[in-house]
This record gives sequence, C-alpha cells and structure tokens, in this order.
Amino acid sequence: MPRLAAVATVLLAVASAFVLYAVTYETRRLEQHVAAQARTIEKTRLDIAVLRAERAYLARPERIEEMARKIGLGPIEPRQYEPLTAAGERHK
Amino acid sequence: MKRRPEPLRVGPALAARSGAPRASGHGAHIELPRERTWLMHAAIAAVFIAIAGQTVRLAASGETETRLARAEPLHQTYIRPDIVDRRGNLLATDVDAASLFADPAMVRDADLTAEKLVALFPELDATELRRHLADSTRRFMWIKRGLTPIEAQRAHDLGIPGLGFRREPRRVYPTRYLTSHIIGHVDVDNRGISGIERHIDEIGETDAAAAPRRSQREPVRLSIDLGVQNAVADTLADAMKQYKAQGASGVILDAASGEIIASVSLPDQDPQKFSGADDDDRKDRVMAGVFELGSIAKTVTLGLALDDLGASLTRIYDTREPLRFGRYTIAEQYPPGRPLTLAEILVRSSNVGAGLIAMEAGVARQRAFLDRLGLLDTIRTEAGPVAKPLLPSHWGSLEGVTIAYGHGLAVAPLQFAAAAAGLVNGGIKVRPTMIRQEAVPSGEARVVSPATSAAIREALRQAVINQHGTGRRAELEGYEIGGKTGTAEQPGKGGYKEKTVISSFFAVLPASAPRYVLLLSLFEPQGTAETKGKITAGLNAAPMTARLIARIGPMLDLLPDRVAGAN
Repeated sequence: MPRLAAVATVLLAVASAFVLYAVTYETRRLEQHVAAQARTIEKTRLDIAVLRAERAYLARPERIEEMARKIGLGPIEPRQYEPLTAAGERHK
Repeated sequence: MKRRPEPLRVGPALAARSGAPRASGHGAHIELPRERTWLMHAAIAAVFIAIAGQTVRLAASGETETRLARAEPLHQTYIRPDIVDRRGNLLATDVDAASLFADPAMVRDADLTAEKLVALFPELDATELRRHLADSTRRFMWIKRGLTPIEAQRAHDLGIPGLGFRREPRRVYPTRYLTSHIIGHVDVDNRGISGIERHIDEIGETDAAAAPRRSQREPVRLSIDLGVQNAVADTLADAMKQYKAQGASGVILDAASGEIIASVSLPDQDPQKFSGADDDDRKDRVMAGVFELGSIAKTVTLGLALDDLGASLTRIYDTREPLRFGRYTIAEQYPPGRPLTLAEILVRSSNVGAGLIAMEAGVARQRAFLDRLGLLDTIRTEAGPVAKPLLPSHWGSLEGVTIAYGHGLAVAPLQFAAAAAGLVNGGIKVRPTMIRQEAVPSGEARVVSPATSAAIREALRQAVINQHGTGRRAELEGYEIGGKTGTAEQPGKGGYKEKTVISSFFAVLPASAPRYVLLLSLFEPQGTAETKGKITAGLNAAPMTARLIARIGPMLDLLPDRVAGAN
C-alpha cells in the first residue's frame, strides 16, 4: 500500500511537470503575443497622431480660405441671411 | 486562604501548553522524538509553502522581459497633451520622430563618418563632430534630434557602423502661423519654454518618459477660436495693405468670462526662426507691448463721471474753451462751438470734456478708479505675463487730464480690452484667460454699477449711430455695434509725432447685451485716397472693425438682428 502511494505520487509529479512545462510555454507565447500587440497598439496610436497632425495641417483655415476663394466662395455677408418666415412668404 | 489553591492549578496547565519538557514531568522522554518529527514536517511544509507563494507572486507580477542596464544616462523626454482650440481643432500634438546618435567606441573611421554626416546635415559643426567621434572612451552622443522621416532614412542609408536611432516624441504645430505667439515653444526634450506650452509644464500636465507614446491626458482646450483667429488675421492683413500701416493688432474677448477668442499681432513672428530675442517689430503687440491708445480711453473717463461723480448722460459740460496748463493747451480737434452733454463728450470725442471730468474727479479718485478697473496692475494670462502698464512718472492734474483722453498712460491692448469689458458687461471685473471656461467665473469684484454699465453701452452705441459720432463708419446693418475710436499720436524724439499714430477701435457687440468686446489697432497707417489723406481711426480702424464683424458674426453665433428677431 505505501509503495502504491509512492508510485502514484511519482507519476503525479512527472505528469505535473509536463503540465507545468506546457503551461509555462503557452504563457510565454501568450506574453510575447501580448507584448507584440501592445507594441502594435502604441505604434498605431503614434501613426494616428501623425495623421491627425497632417489632417489639421491640411485643414488649417488659411489654406481652406485660399481654396474656397479660388472656387469663388467668400465670407458670409449679413444680407445673405433671411429669416425662415421670409422664406415661407416667398413661396406663396 | 482562598488564594493558595489557584497558583497550584494554574501552574501545570501553563506548563503543559508551552510544551516545556521540564514541566511535563515523567512522560517527556517518550514525547520528544515525535515532537521532532512534527517539527521537521512543519519546516518542510513551510519551505514548500514559501516556494509556492514565490511562484504565485512571480506569475502574478508578470515580469518576464529581460531588462538591460545601460551605461549611458537615458535622455529623458516628456510626453505632452495635445492643445486644441475651443472647438477642438488640433493646434499642437506629439508625433514620433527618430533621433540620430553615435556610439564613438564603435565608430571605426571618425573622419569619414563626420564627413558623411556633415554632407547630410550641413548645419553640424564638422570639427566638433570629428573630435567627439574620435573619443573612443565615450559610448553615446547625439548627432541630431527630431529628424524628419526622410532625413532618418538618408542617415540610415549611409550604413555607417556606430550610428543608431532612438525614437523620441517631437512637438508639431499644424497651424503654427496663426497661433505660435500664444502657444509658445518647447525645447529639445519636449519641455515647454514659453507661452501655453510652458503653462502646461507648470500645471504638471506632462509625463516623463523614455520612449514616445501618446499622452493619456485630456487635451488642453484653449479659449481661442481658430476660425475667428484666421478671420481677424486676414482682415488685419488686408487693412494693413489698404491703409499702408506698419503693423496691426486685434483682440476679441468674451465680455463675461474674459476668454480670449482671438489675439492677432502683425507682422507676426516667424516660428521657424524663434531665437528668444526681442524683435521689436515682430513682438506680440496685444500682450507684449504697451501703447497710449488715445480717445478710446474716454470710455473709461465716462465711467468715472457716471459711477464716481454721479453724473448722468445728459449732464452739460462747458467745453467751449480750451484747457490751459502753463505752456500746454488742450483743445478740441473738431470744436462743436457749444456746451456738450456727457454722452456727446464720448460721441464727439471731446478732449476738453474728458479733461473737465478728470479735473472734477481729481487725481486720487481718477487713479483709484483706473486701479479698480485693473488698468494699473501687472496682469498675466496662461500664455505669460502681460507687459506692465507704463504710468506717468509724475501724476498731477495735467497728467490726469491727458490720461482722461488717452495719453500719458500706456497699457497693453489686452489689458485695456479686459478693463473695458468690465465696464460694459454689467460692471463685473474680467480677467483675460487663454483657457476655455465652462462657466463664467463667479466671485469677481464689481467695478461699476449695472446702471453705469448700461449708460456706457448706450453712449458707445450713440458714437456709432449718431450723425456726429466718430465711430459711424463702424455701423453694420443687423449687428448692434457700439464703439469708440482712438487716434493716438505716438511719442517720438522731442514730443508727439502728428503723422505717426495708432488708430484703434474698441467695439462692444451687441451693444445692448454685450457678448464680446473687440479692440483692433492699426500702427502708423498712412492717408489714402479713400480716407482723403486722413489717418484718423474713424476712417480706417472703424470700417475695418465693421468688415471684421460682418465676417465673424456667424462664427460667434451672432445672427443679424432681422433674422435673429424673426425666428
């Protein structure tokens, strides 16, 4: 009986060693994966920052204004406003 | 007698519990080995539990990456939050940039390396570079920081051993020409050294870091409206050409919260050539310069008469005779030939009338009133200190009179605009700020009574719509503009120069319930055919203000009256 217990314990120990190895290996793999993902996220965030800066540069008002004037647009003038009520009357 | 048995009973019980062999008597010889076995088991168990505990701790902390120790000190850099305007337009952000360094110990040929590097970056000092690269005891030196992607690629393509890149955050300003004088600059370690950038460091919104990453902090939201800022810059630039002026400045404040909606000074600084040195022609006139602003100061003098002297707008002042102080004579530019009411003093811009008010108040009360408005303090905004007001060295009754019509006291346009905002907004002091405010700050001091404030607004409106008003060219149908002109001769060698003026217009919009105040100035405008050769503010600064308001009204959420009223 004690021998059986001893053999069982040894087998259990060997089995758990394999399990431990497998788990460790898997954990390392997952950790590498997580680290790679984190790097990708940070890289993407930095790329987004560059694109946002570029977008803001392209949308700067003095550039938009120049382009708008080229196609014949200009600032709104007070006379261009009409109240909604006036618009209704015109249709009558 | 009762006490005796107690110690006898307690004694053995304590001894048994403590397990001392001496106390357990005869049976101790048999018990001893078993106790040792248990002790052994307990010790082994404790060791295994410790190992298990450590394993769990290591697993939980998750630190598996190898750490490398570097011999060279890490150049720490700073991660900064974005800066956006009041509508969320991006004004400043961090991007990832490569910085080139060398490890001199690994450089094989210092001369060749230096030669190739200088060919790529001509601004580097070849002699210095060669000397440092040849010093093989060094393991680290920067070659150039904050490279553009193209520069980085070219440096990489050189294929020189001993060179390497480190990624660092680099600050970029997509709209720098419009806002550089407000936002300021950062140094090579991404630390703010001027303007709002410095303010961000001072309030602790930056994070130290060894590598670039995005700041997790909320963007810093300025009070500036980029669209309005551009419209002001554009209008001022046009007016500078039209009136052949040397410079121009414009500031727009929220009349209640003191938020600076736009602040423009032309000609502006070239942000590429920032050296920190004062360049007088290009300094920020709104905040860094002090000027005698001329007759727009009569707005303040009107407040003095109404609030401190208890006058009403209809009170009559005899302005027919010029004021004489020794060899100085203060006369009207356009003598009306009859006494004027208090309102007319502002509307017709009467120097004599303003002088009479100052004389009635006396120097002490006048000074106290200006102080209450905040015109004598040294103020600052988040972008830095505002230039200190320049007071007369001797403030006697003559100086009191000249200050009453706008000469002798020089203040920064921003400071005047803030003081005037307090006069027209119902009488509550305004502190200019560059940061967007969610609510009007409470607890600010009252500077004048609501009635005084309403009367000032009425007089300012009259100055624009009255047929004798100096500001009538600022009238713009649909927008209820109130305002005051100011044409200030500039002090030069041997007194004031008549042909060198600052033409300003101070406007309140809309006059009946002010939401914004504007102060626009043209520096040294010339007479043109359109102004019939004249250089007074009523002919240049006033119409310029009307043009600007027509353009920015919709951006400021102001609709022309007939539309706003009808809906």
